[in-house]
Formats: sequence, C-alpha cells, structure tokens
Amino acid sequence: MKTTTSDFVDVPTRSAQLGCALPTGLTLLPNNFESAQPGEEFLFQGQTATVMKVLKAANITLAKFGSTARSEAFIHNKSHDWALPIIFIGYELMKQNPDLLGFVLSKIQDYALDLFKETVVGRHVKAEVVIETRRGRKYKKISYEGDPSGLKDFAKVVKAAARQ
Amino acid sequence: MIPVPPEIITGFAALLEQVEPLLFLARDRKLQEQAIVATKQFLERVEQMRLAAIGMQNEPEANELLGLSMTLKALASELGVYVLLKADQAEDAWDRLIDAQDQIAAAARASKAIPNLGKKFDHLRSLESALFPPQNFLSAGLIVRRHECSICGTDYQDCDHIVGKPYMGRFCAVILKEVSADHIAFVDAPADRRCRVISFGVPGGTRNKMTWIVTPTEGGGDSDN
Repeated sequence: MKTTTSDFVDVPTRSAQLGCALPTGLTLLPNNFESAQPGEEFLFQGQTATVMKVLKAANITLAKFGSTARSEAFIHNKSHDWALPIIFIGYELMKQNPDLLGFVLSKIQDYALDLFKETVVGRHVKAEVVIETRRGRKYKKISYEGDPSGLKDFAKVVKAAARQ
Repeated sequence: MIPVPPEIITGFAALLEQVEPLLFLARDRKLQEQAIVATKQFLERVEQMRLAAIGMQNEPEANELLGLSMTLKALASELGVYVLLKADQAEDAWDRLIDAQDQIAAAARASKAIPNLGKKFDHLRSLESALFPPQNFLSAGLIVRRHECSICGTDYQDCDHIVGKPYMGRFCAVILKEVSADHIAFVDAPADRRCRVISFGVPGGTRNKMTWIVTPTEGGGDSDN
C-alpha cells in the first residue's frame, strides 16, 4: 500500500469560484475540481456511477459535486485495474460520524474484491480522499495506490491526516 | 449443490482430462489443435444450455454456465498461446494469453462452483515472463459523455445494474458512447495488457519488440517511431 498526502485547494473558495454549492455530505469531486475554467465541463472518474450504486445498495447516498450546475463527462484511464472518484468529506461530518469513511471504503473494497475475486493478487487500484483537517482551516488530498484489500485500512490513514 | 446439469459436470471433467496434459509449450501442436476443437465443441453445448437457462429465467444455472463458458474459452485461449508461438505468431500469442487471463477472471466473477480459478489466473500471469520478453505498457485516457448499460440498454447512471456482476447469465458491462481521446501514457499496471509498445526505431528501420526482427524502412532512412 502506498499513500501520499498533499495540500488541496480551499474547497469553499473553489466551490464559489465554480459557481456551485459547497459540498455538505459525502461528495464526489470531479478530477478537474482544482483546475476547471468557467463554463468548462466537470470531468469525473469513469467509475463514479458504479461507486454511487455500490454505496446506494448499502444505504449511503453520495452527492456528485456540481451535478446540476454544469455538464459532465467521465475519464476512463486504463492506467490501473480500478480507479475511484475523488471522495470529499468535511470536518463536521468526520466529527459526527467518525466511522463513516471506514464504512464507505469497506463497501467499496468489498465490491472490488468481489469484482476481482480469486484473481485479486497483483491488481492495482487508486483512491483519493479530500478532507478538511480542521473546520475551515486546511484541505488535504490523501491518495492510495495498491491492492484492493488495503482500501479499508486506507480509512485509518485518512483519519490520522484529519487529526493534524 | 452446483446448479448445472450433471451431464455437463461429467463432460467438463472428461474434457479437462483430455486438455490439461496439453497445457505446456512442449506438447505436440496437432494434439493441441485437436484439443482446441474439442473444447470449442463442448463450449457450444454449454452456450446452448446457458441460453436455455436464460429462457427459463433460471439465474443461478445461467450464471454458473456463464462461468463455465468463460473457463472453456480460457482453456482454448491458453492452448492457442502454445499453437501460435509454434507458428511464429508471437504477437497474436500474447493477445491470446491476455484473453485467457480475462476469461478466467470473468469465470471467477460468474461461478461459485469452479475450483482453482485463482491458481489458474496466477499461472497465466506467470506465463507472461516465462514465454515472452518484458513489455512496455500503454494506457489510453478517454473522455466519455455517455455510458450505456449492457443489460438494460439505459443510461448506466440511471439503472441499478453494476459493472462486472452477472445478471441472468450475462455480465453487466458499460458501453462507452460519445468518446474522445484525451491522452496516452506509459504505465506499469494497465487495465488492458494488450496495449503495449509494438516496435521502436533503430538505424535503418523498426525493431519489433516481441520478435526482435528489424523491418527496414522504405527508402533506407531511420524510423521516427
């Protein structure tokens, strides 16, 4: 499992620049959240609809950022066996429901393990989570690359980053 | 209990007895070609039963037969690897090996009863380095504006079907519509291992990365690719 942490753009400020409502619950961000120009379509990861359906089946509703504000398209990069859309979770939600992200990633992990079944060894997945480290303070993106079975533990790495 | 007619289980066991001893490069090519024919004949029977199970709306049987169908395809593909290598068709042999890997992975998704699919997949992966030189893989980045569900034909965002899962004997796949190319990149772990560097330029021509044969450039100059 390889994880990296990097600074992310201030989500409320950027949301306002994009003319979109600030995400409140668990939200999927477009890959071009930081770089999209005015009027430019949002580009979501190709697995976005699948992830939303997997979590809907577990009674978790994910919102898609700006879904009513702009047109959207989907990126299908064939660079990994499986790549998740960027998941954003705000500070208040993390505080109220500290196990939520772990639950979400475990459901996604279950789907990935079911997708690959016995052929899972050597499979390569990519995941990214954007968090608010403290209310209104900083935003970080934590990235994961590795085996699908590491996704559940990735939640612990994200929680640790959120406490900083 | 395996939800598949007993004669299919018996027939599959008999076929494996015939085919498995031939899954080595050193085995006789004619025997391997005969085994491919036998496998495809049995596959035809299984496919007819799968369609019948779909017609009867018997999902457990249809899905199990789907898994068996993919396993049979993988057997034929693996035999094809050895036959093609002996015929000096290494490029096609590589593609056939990746087909076999994909087919075994699909079998694992559909079938609850077929054993040792993980071991078979690992073996097929090991054949990459055992039989072929190292490859440089490429990944295509595509921008897609619409996805169609292969099961119900509606927009994939709107239905409840999930990619990769079997539904009544058929896999859910996403059909990409309104596609444009965004980029190409070199990657270590591509989703499609068929996407690889085929050749590169050398003085006077291009060298095929698989066979190492140099094809002279017309006019005798250096190749740019």
